[in-house]
Amino acid sequence: MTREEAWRILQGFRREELDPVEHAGRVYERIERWESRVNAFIEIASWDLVHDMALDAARSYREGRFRPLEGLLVAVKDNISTSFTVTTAGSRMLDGYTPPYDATTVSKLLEAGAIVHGKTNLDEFAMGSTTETSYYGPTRNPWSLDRVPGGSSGGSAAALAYGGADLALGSDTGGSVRLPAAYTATVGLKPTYGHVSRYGLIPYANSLEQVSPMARSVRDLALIYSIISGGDPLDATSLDTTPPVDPWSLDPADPGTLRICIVPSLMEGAERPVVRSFMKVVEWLESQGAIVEEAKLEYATHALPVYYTIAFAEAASNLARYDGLLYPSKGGSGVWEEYVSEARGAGFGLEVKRRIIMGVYALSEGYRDEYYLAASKARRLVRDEIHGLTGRCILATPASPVLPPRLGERLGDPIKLFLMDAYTVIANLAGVPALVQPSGLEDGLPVGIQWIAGRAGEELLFRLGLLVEEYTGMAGVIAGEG
Amino acid sequence: MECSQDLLERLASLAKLKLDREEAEEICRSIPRIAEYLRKVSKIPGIVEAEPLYHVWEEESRLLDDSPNRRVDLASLPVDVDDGYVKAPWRGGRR
Repeated sequence: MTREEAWRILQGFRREELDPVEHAGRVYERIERWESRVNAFIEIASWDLVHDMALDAARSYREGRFRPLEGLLVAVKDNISTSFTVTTAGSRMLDGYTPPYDATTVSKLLEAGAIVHGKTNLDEFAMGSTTETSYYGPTRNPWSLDRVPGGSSGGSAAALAYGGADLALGSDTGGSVRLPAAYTATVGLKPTYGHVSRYGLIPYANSLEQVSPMARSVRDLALIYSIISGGDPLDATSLDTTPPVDPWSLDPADPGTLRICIVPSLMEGAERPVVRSFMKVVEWLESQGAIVEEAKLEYATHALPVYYTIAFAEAASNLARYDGLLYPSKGGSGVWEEYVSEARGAGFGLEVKRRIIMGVYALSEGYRDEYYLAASKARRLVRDEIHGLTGRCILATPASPVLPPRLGERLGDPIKLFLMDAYTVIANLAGVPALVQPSGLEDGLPVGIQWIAGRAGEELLFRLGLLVEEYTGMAGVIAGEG
Repeated sequence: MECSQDLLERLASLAKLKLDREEAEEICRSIPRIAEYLRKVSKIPGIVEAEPLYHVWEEESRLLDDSPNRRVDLASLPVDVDDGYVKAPWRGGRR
């Protein structure tokens, strides 16, 4: 298998063993080879532009004034604002829209010397688990082109999987970087809520989502996280208490210090290859000295309907701003009510409309107590339970109950679509960090394992992830090469 | 619950969404199943006594300072600026 890790590329640049222009050229060759079949990107910078930026990076290295990500190619999910190219959120509603400012995470990447070379495909407004609901067409999984890459950050994951980017940004509302990571043999982290600024993220469900790093290996993940994390005065929900992480000094965790909890009842209904791959990793950790114990969860087993009720309600509120008049301004005339309804009817796709309608339903007079209020109460129970558990162990689950589905397999049945997120939504409801990495391949298809830690447990997750990579040997793998 | 024409029209009106016939049929088909699925939450034991939670770190929520420290140059925006004022887009009704 071909492997490529961003931190090793940086080392190559710094030692002048690798030229940023040649590296960028290799990434663009892969984009040329794969993109017509995979559709990972909505917008890609021209080679001429990237070539010039890579030349600047090469000069910086020669002159010894390089920055932490100098010359790396970073793909950004297209619901994260960029002032230099479009930000569509995968929706016809925002087709052609270029924001007047950069998201804080994008500003930090640019200040660190990264080359943001493309905006990646996603489920419309990040509402989906397969990257099939984008106005710009579905993204396919480079490991098996008739399967989905997971969603909603499927474009970023697919680009990483075929080597079309060194690092990537996604966003995670209920598993949107972790499911794609599991399905494409890449790595994704949902940070502690507040550890990464949401300023400039086009909102779907504010109280649940985080801009989230994606990579091909755990050290790469720590590398990009170390750049984008931290409090932000422009985001009132960000935390000033975010502890810094040094990706270069991270060592694999000592298995003798690890306490892992597994919840057997959570795995009922999961496909057999998924459970097999999960247990292999857990048993290996146990053989190395980690303490593995079974735990029971009373409330988190109900997390999925709690999550979706809250997400729908917040989506209905957030997407009210798209009226086709003020934002985005498409002109118009006639009766306001009719014009706005028509503009929204034409601008949104079916899944977005379904979720807005369900959100309005959950918030409307007569139903609010039974749905939204009940979910908000249940969220407290889930949060307290998960905080209690992750205070004494790392919760391990498969990343998804199923292997990567075929295109169209889940789209027709909304409940089947929701069930793909069964293991990932827990961390969003509780606000705690969760990391997904490959546990192996089953029948040639990637399978992911999820680790959920307590608040601010990112460094622990990185160190555990590095240890697990020693067993799986999956760090940096690129699909379809070698 | 059942999805009646009245209910869907009321929800679509509240959501300011025009649905074509196919969309209306598809959404009406899925609403009862999704609503039934979400309604499970209200049956969770112990839920009545729980306090609702709207922010995971509720004790640390803070408001932004009144004065923003980043300003956007009006001239850089794709809006109609006239003599220092932004011309607001038409918001409905007669001109």
